Amino acid sequence: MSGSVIGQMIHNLEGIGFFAYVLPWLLTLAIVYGVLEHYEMPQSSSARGVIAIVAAFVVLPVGGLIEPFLREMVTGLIAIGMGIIVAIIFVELLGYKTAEVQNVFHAHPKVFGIILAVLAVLVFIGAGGMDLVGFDIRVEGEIVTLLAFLVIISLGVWFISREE
Amino acid sequence: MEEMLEIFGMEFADPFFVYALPWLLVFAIVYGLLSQIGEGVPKSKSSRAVISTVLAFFSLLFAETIMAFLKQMGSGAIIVLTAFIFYMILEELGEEEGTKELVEGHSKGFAIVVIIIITVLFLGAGGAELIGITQMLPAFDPATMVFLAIVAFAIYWMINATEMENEEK
Repeated sequence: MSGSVIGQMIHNLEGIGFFAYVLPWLLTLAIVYGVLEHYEMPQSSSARGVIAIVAAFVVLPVGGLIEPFLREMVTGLIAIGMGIIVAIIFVELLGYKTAEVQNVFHAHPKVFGIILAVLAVLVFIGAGGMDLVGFDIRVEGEIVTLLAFLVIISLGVWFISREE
Repeated sequence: MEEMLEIFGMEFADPFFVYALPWLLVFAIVYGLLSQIGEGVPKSKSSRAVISTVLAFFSLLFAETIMAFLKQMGSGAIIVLTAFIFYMILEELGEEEGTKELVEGHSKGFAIVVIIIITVLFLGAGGAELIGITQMLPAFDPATMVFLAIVAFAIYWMINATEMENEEK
């Protein structure tokens, strides 16, 4: 973090637990209240408010655990968001050349859906989400290599069976 | 780019670029995504705004890394886009000579090229580190990957050639 005034301010906020406690508290409140209001359950608005506040306070003790996860998730979100924006610019630029009416995203929604889901899972695992949900699985190079081989073998089998 | 900013008395290291832009970007992406789904998830506009604001604040902790990534990715994308635009101008000029068919006739090939360019830009800007998948990836050297890609391409080409021969028979 640079020595600018804003950098110092963020450092101070970090020191007083703004990122570890206040923000997770607010996030939980917003998510729980939003979900309850989305489904209008319970019907009483004040009951929804109280439930959301209680849930937000319940999360406070684990705020320190949630903070690094949220931090990594947001960073991953920016990386993927920016990647998608650049991809859309490229596709729109060349899109009308590759097809008259629809671009690649419209033409292959399932493929792009799967790619996005894989990216989301990778970000979740990379941010330490597995530890948070209680699965102590270390995803390392050997496992990824093994998975890559399995994917290649599956593709080979699929290719041969398709020919038959 | 940096010289242009200097005209306005600004630098990339200014707090505006380092903190305000990542904050705004995350806010816009999250709020936009939440509002995009159906009538908005959750329906409450204020909940969406609070969720976006909270997540935007988390970007401040990694603002410098994020800004370095955005700068790298943005400049790389602009260079490649300029090259594409230049190519498209040439293509339009050479319409009568038949070069226009190059993109339209090989749309799949161009799509693969675009995907490779975007992936290279993303990885080159440090996207893999930001997503946090570098510790998951096995150690490999680019030369091996290029060699494997060439082998894969050769196999694909051989299979295609055999198929075409069979069809001709």
